[in-house]
Amino acid sequence: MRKIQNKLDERLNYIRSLILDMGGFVEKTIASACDLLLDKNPNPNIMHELKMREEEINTLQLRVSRVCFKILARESPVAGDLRLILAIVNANTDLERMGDLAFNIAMKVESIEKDPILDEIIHMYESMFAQVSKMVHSSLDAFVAEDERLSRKILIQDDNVDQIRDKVRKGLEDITLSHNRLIKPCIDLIIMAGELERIADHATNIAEEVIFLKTGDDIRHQDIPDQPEEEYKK
Amino acid sequence: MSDVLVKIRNLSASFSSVTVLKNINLEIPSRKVVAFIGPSGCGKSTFLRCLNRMHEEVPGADIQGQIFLEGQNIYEKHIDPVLVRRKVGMVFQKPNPFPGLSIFDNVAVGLKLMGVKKRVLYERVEDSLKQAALWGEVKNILKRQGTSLSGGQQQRLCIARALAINPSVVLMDEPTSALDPISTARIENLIRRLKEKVTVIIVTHNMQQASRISDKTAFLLSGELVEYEKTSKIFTNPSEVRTESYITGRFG
Ligand SMILES: Nc1ncnc2c1ncn2[C@@H]1O[C@H](COP(=O)(O)OP(=O)(O)O)[C@@H](O)[C@H]1O
Ligand SMILES: [Mg+2]
Repeated sequence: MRKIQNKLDERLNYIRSLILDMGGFVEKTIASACDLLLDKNPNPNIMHELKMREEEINTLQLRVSRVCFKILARESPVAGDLRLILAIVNANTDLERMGDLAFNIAMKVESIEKDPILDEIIHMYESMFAQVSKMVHSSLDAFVAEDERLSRKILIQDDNVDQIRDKVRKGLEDITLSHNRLIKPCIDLIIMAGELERIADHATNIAEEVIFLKTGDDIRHQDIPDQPEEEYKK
Repeated sequence: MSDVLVKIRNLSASFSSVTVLKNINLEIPSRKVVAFIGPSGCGKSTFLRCLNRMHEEVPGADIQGQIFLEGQNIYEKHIDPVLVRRKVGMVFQKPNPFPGLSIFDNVAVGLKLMGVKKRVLYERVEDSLKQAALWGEVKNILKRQGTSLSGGQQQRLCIARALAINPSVVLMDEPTSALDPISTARIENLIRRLKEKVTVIIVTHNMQQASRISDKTAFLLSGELVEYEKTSKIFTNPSEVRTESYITGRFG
C-alpha cells in the first residue's frame, strides 16, 4: 500500500493543540486559586484575569466541538480516528467543567475569612491542590501522548484525592462544632474541597478516555454489560 | 454461533500463473451479510467468482483448495457448475437485465429453464419481486421491457432474478456503485432484509456501506486475507494495522 497525505491528520493535530491550550488555562487557574488561599498572590487584577481565562476556555470548548462536528459530518471517521474524536469530544466537556470549577474555587477562596484555627486545615489544602494539579497535568500529557500507563496511574491518584477530601471535611466539621463563628468559612472550605475533588474526577475521566482511545475498551462502569449487536440493529 | 454455510479452505486462484488469491481460509455464516473490502485489484471479484465457479471460465485461470457449500466441496469432479450457480446467485455492478425481455420474463426465465410449471410461475415471480422490494412499482407494468426501468429498479430486478431460483447465497459485486443515494439506500435496506432467507456476500468500495449493512467484514490486500471479523470490531477497533490504515484512508 502507498501512504496517502491525510487532511484529517492535520485537523486532528489542530484540535489536540486546542485541548492542550484549554488544559493549560485550567492548570493556571488552579494554581492561582491555591496561591490566593495561601495569600501568595499579590496581583490586584487576579480575579479579572481569572474571569477572562474562564471565558477563553469556553471559547476553546466551542471551537473544539465545532471542528469535531464538522469532522464527523464530513469525514465519517472510523477505527482509531473515530475513537480519537469521541475521546476529544468527551475531554472537551471535562475541561470546560474543570475550568468552571477552578474559577468557582478561586472566587470562594477570595471571600474566605482567614483564622489561625483554620491554618492547619488550609495547609492540607495545599497538598490537595498540588495533587489535583498534577493529575490535571498528567491527564493532558497522557492524552496527547496516548499513554495508557500514565493514565492508569492517574486512576490510582484519584483515590488519594478522595482520601484527603474526606480528611479535611472531617476536620472542618469538628471545627464548626466548637467554633460557631467559623461556620461560614468552614462551609466554603468544605464546598471547595468537593469542587477540587470533582476536578480530579474530570482528570480521571480524561485518563479513562485515553485508555479507550488506545485499547478500544470502555472501562467506565464495567458492571454494565455491552448492548448485544442485535439490539443495535433494531 | 450461527451455522457455517460456506467454508473456504486454502483457496488460491491465478490468471495465467499469476496468483491473485493467496491461500484464503474463512467461513461464511448462514443468513448473514458479509462484506469484502480492499483496494482495487486486490482480488475481491475473483474471490466472488471462485464461489460460483465462474473463475474457471476465464482461459488460463486456475484454482486450488476447497470451497464447501453446505458441506459439499463445489470443486469436486462430479459436481456440475450449473448446479452450483443455482445455489449461488450473482448480482453485478452494472444492472444487467436481459435485453428484449419483459420485466416478468427477466425473473421467469431462470425458473422456466429449471422446469417450473406454468401455473406456479406467476406466483414465484411475484414472490421474488416482492422479496426484491420491487413488486409495488412494477405489478401493473410486468409486460414492459426490463431495460425500461430506472437504474435502481433494474438492479432490484436483477436481485429478484437472482432470488427467483431460491439460492442459498447471493453474491453482489459493488451492486450500488452505479446508483444514486436514494436507490442505494433502497438496495441497502433490501439487503438487510434478504438475510432472513439467504446469505449475502457483498463487495463494496463504500466503507460506510460495509459498516451499515454487514455483520462481518473481510479485508483483502494483494490477494491475502488480512482480517476477517465482526463489522463493528473492524470499524471501531481493527486488530491489524493494515486494516486500520486502509479504512481510515491513510493507505490505499
Ligand atoms: N480476466 C483476467 N485476466 C487476467 N488477470 C485478471 C483478470 N481479471 C482480473 N485479473 C487480475 O487479478 C487481480 C484481481 O482482480 P479482481 O479480482 O478483479 O480485483 P478487485 O475486484 O478486488 O478489484 C488484478 O490484478 C487483476 O488485474
Ligand atoms: Mg472488482
